[in-house]
Amino acid sequence: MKTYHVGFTKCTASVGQHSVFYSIVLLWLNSVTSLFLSSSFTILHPAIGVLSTLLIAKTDYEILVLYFRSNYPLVYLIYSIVKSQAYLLLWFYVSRFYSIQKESKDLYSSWKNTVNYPKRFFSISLLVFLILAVIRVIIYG
Amino acid sequence: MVKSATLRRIVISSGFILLIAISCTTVNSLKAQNLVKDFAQTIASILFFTSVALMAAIHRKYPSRHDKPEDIGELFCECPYALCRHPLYFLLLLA
Repeated sequence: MKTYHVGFTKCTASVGQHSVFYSIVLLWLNSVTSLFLSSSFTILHPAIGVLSTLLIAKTDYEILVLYFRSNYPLVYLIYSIVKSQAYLLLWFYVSRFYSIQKESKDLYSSWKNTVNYPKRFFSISLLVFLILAVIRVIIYG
Repeated sequence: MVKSATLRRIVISSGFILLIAISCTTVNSLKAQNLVKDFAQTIASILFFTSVALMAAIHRKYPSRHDKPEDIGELFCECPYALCRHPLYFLLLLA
């Protein structure tokens, strides 16, 4: 049984016990949960959101330290950097959402932007984390 | 004396931050099958994010001080208020 640390969550999945598809879905759901929880902080204020994003990226920093201390596989390091970048990119995306709400002149434009903007955010974030879950299961097994 | 608008802002903001922090620390505490539990968590987090975003969109358009009806100065009848009498309370319950 393999334990994966995914953002705020820790999920157990095993390719040997379950199918590859099951492991990918489990990792994907856990990543999306972490993303939306940290995005809820960002909507309140981007400064609080960046703290939670950094907390998620903490495990990636630990992998960076491991890489420089020992013969840690390069592929794990590359994956961690890509994952951190994805979280940061989506943090920027939600921060833009925050500034759009602040800049809107009236309730009508604020509401319309709020309703329209997440459609793109939802599709991008779900797709990004699905790709990351597939890569993770391929790399880590 | 702290004005009620300021007090509301402090209580609700810190309440939300505390709620998200508790959600982050208690993830995976549901006693259910892995896939069912994770699916429920994901749906809940998406619903929570959407509710908070919509609440923020409404609340950010209120004047900073809104203790009395005359502080707002206009009657909102559009968008969320065309659909629901108290959209903020509805979204708060949903969150």
